[in-house]
Amino acid sequence: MMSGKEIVRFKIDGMEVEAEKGRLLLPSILDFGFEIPHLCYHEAVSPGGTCGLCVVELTKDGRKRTAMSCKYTIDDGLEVVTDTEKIRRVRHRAWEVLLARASRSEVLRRMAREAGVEKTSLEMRDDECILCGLCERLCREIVGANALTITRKNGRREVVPDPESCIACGACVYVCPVDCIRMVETEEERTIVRWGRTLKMKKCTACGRSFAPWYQLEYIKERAKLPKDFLDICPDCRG
Amino acid sequence: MGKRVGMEGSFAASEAVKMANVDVIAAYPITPQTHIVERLSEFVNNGELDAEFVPVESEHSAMSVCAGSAAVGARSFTCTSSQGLILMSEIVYCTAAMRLPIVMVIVNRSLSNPISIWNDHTDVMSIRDCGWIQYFAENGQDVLDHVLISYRVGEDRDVMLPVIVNMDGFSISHVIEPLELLDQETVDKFLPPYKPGVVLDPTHPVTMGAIVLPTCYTEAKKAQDEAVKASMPTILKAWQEFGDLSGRYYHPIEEYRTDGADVLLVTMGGIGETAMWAVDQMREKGRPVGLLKIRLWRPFPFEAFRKAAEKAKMLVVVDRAVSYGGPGGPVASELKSALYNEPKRPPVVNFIAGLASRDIAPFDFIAMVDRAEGTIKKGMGPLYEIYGVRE
Amino acid sequence: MEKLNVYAAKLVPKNENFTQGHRACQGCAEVLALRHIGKALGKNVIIASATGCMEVVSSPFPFTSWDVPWIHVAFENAAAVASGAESGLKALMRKGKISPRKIFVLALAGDGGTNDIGLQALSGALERGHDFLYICTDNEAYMNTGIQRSSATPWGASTTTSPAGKVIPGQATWKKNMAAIAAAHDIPYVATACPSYPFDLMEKVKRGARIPGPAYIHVLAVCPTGWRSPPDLSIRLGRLAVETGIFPLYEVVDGKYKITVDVPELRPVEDYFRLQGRFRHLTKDMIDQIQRRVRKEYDRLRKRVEMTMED
Ligand SMILES: Cc1ncc(C[n+]2csc(CCOP(=O)(O)OP(=O)(O)O)c2C)c(N)n1
Ligand code: SF4
Ligand code: SF4
Ligand code: SF4
Ligand SMILES: [Mg+2]
Repeated sequence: MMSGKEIVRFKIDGMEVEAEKGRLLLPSILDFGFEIPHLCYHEAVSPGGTCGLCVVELTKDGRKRTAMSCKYTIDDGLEVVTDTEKIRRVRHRAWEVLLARASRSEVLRRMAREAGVEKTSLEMRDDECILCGLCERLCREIVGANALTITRKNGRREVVPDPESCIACGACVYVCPVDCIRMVETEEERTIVRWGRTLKMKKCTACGRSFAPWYQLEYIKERAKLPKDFLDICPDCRG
Repeated sequence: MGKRVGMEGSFAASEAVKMANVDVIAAYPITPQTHIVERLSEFVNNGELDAEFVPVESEHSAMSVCAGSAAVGARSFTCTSSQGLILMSEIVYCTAAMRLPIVMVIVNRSLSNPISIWNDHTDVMSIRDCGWIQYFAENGQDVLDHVLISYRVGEDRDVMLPVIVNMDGFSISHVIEPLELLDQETVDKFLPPYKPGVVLDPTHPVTMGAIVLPTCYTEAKKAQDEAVKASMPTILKAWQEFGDLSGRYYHPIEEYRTDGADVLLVTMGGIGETAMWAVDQMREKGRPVGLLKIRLWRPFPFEAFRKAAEKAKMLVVVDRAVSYGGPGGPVASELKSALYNEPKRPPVVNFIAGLASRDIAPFDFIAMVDRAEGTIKKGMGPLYEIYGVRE
Repeated sequence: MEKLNVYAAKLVPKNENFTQGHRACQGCAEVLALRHIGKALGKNVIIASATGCMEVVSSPFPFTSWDVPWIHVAFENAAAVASGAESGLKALMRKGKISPRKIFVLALAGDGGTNDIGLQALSGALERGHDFLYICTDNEAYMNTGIQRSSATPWGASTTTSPAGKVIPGQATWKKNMAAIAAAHDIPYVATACPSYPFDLMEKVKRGARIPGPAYIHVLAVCPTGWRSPPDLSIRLGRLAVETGIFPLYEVVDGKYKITVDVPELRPVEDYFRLQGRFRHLTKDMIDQIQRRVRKEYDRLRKRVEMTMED
């Protein structure tokens, strides 16, 4: 529902559309069914602009330029073009950068191949991570655990975990665009492999089945100021 | 002007669909409609018509596909006969109520059982009240012209209704006749590209086919009835313009030698041409007989009919469908109700003839007129007679 | 991802394309599935719904719960209407009459509108290869017309046309395996899902919609009214259906089977039956018979996974 919000009109590849003023361009374009490649964007967290794939060409007041659509907010009379020779060149280059950053990622290679990019001419880094930073933003903004930081080591960026702070919630596993954060779970414990964090699972005092890492439950209780025994019973038994 | 060719009615329909630059065709084969789908598949597969041909698994799905394609704003076409029509009938009613301007050619054929592939009007009469605009063609030219006219009328913003063009199975669909193909430029002038109003479009979400409770159902049906009736001026205007472009002017009721006629034969569909012969023969003998051919079946042209029937002393109506245990053929019943409240109403004698392509020759029409006159002289006879039953 | 996880839940799209105000019963999991489906597909979709509970509760004129284009024509033809919408869009885009872009086409129907009366239209649409997603929300009976049995009603369940009588104790046939029928059409994507596992469900919906060509998802949807179960147990019942192995969650991608929520040790089916009035009359013998069949079917599924695994 768009009530109460200011609506602006703009164009995507010639099609007249309407959206809320101030909304980010990328999700609006996607809503209207235009395909734009993007890896580091998630609507729940602030945009990163780190993968470089979502570039579009913008014309506003007669001036033309390219911009990252995940960081651009819509305004009236904007004309967006999602596919030109130049955009293709920029995206091609972005794929090459990503392929170099995550030379071990099978998932990324498959996506790049589908986009028509087979190889990179840049120096390869031996990793699966594309350094999009989505996990870091998420852990900070949504989870609030601040278990990840992006640092520069020897002039290179890295995502560095603080395993002590990680509550093994798995949210980063869910969003990682190249599936390089893996979670292994048994009745006894859960491990976030990439961050080297293993936590014991809490068993429900009613049915005896494990349902969440104990430290995560402690963290939730503390943040939400819940009684001590509040999360002893699993949601299924709570009914 | 257009090119003169020899062509069967089925191919004439297909040519018209091509010239109308239809976007989606969904149809399922059934005799005698098959030539239309075959020809259309050829057009699409040879790149002569840029359309999606959806080879559905049933007529029910054919009409359902058209519902979906028309709802997104695509010009849509289907065609069928007999059992196929009955199978799809549920959705025929739905599409009219949803105001989707689909065009359907029905190549009329009798209904089972016993199974019969031959021609009469029992198929289309079973969906008489479906809410579509309905024409009856008399020959191949008529079919070609009316497929184009149907899109023009149905898609008019003042109308927004689906349209049926009926043609008799075999005697029109499979008979090669001389006809004129309009050139594309003339067609484009007459039939502009479809500019749909409300469509399924993610940028402007709408809900179509909502459930309506008794509080609003009556209003919905009243609106639908008004819409069908209100299509008449658009139909007349389209015929006028089509006539100006092609030289062929059509009317809801076509009159033939009605001047000074005491007796009027009434027909609908292809048998009208034979009836003209019969009228000529009777006129030669000095008998005051004329002919009314009904072209527009829905909305029924009450006014035009009353005017045409005004001076007649008797109507001899030839129906091609049975209403078992009912008041007679559907056309005669219609005409009787049209006249019932009139101060001067000629008696209506009803013959049901030509079931499953049983031949109706000129002498049959003459015999019917003879019999009708006898009946009237003796006072009113039975409500209707199934003509030509072998003893 | 399906264990308790407060934070992943926050990542679910916030937009609601199936909105509040619908008239479904309390605790209806079928309507919950629609909400998840709406979130997963986003704004850019056209939906063709079959007649049934979900159509009736969502579109009482002049109201609507749909914030995306939605059409209902009849009971048995959702797949055909969707075929038409897809073909129409394709033709219009190719002919330059509308902007070329990706618009998902979704057909929605209940188990009656899918397994029974809609099977022919569905088979036709899958065979013709339209680029669309078909989702069956299976509440295991004709609920809209008053809980009559369908071919998706499980063996033994009591419905108004398969009542638990003195001679015949409820539904006398085994549930028709609709996902397997869809998979037999050799389409690129088939899956089962359940709104008790929302992430799994939403991922499958996204995947099914994105894959070019036809996709089919069979969603088990708990119906407290028809199952005679407490409305607050709908989520738990869905989990129990999965944990007992009665309704396994899996995908078939290009013919390869994969269990997406594996249950290493199946719970006894009785845990599931206990909470539903429609199974109240089942005897120990009948439950044993069902248990044997569930085990056998689950093993068969595991074998399919092994057989179709990539080497
Ligand atoms: C041709 C036709 N036959 C029967 C009906 C009556 N009818 C409407 S909904 C329905 C049952 C729907 O069952 P299902 O598809 O399982 O959906 P549910 O209501 O259970 O969600 C029936 C039998 C109908 N509308 N149309
Ligand atoms: S699993 Fe650990 S690192 Fe990942 S989001 Fe949760 S707390 Fe942060
Ligand atoms: S681990 Fe994944 S989410 Fe995090 S930066 Fe690397 S690619 Fe991005
Ligand atoms: S009857 Fe069942 S499926 Fe229908 S609305 Fe109620 S709970 Fe939902
Ligand atoms: Mg059902």
